[in-house]
Amino acid sequence: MPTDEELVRQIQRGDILAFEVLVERYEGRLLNFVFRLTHNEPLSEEIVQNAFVAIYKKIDNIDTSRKFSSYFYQVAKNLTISEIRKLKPQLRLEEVGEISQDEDGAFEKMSTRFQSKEIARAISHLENKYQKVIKLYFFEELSYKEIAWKLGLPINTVRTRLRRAKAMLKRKLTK
Amino acid sequence: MTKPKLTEEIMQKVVRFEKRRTGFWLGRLVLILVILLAILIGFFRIAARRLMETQTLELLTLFQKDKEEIAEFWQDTVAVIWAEAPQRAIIIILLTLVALLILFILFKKKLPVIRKRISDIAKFQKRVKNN
Repeated sequence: MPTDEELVRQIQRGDILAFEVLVERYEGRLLNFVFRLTHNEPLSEEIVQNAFVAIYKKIDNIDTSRKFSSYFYQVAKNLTISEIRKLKPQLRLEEVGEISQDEDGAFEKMSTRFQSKEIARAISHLENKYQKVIKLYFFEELSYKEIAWKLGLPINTVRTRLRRAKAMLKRKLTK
Repeated sequence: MTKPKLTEEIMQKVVRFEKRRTGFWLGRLVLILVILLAILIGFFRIAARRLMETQTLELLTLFQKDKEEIAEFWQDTVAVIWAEAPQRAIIIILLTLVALLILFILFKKKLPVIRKRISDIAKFQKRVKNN
């Protein structure tokens, strides 16, 4: 079975029908994810359709050395957020921001976590610098080293911020 | 909506988009080609008419003569031809030829992708028709 990256390369070479395999591979998961956020079936389907079309439009620019699923979920997440915002302009980014784009179950896990509004709310009340490390560590499952590189911080600062953030969260959630 | 139906809807949107994009790409290519060829033919005719009027090309008969004579006069001959020739038209012709060459290289590079896309669009439409 071809990997996502192989399929993307095929599509970049003009094989439109290879995109169908990607659609079949991801539509179920994506539909579940979007539905959890919108609680509206027709809207979820529309968002999913638009997400796939948006991805197809940009497929020539996708770097196949990177994980396709991460890119894919990022696009889907952004589209969902903008659609939800259209419907509920008061919705805070933090409420949907925790949803990461990683695959292999992490995505499903995060959707479940998202349902726990309490955690989302507790995180959104943290200082921005703590929110960032929490999101990157738990939801995007990056290592200390990767977070340090991404945020341009020394690794020990990441470690300290994460420890503090966890302690703060614990306090907030046990109140 | 069932899953296969959703896939079908997505693919229909994708194919519609691809048809538009490929059509636009081919249309643009043809348009650029026509413009460049028109420029090339137009300026070629201008340059040719001018060279005929001045009978400049007759100077080229020098190159049918002896080697010694050619060696002695070729530089003067080339200088005269260049001075009498419609230089602006010739520069435009050369630039147009370069543009056509670039276009040809790009087209050759992209052709397999476009061909595959067109064939996949046809396959998909045939499948939809048969369903």
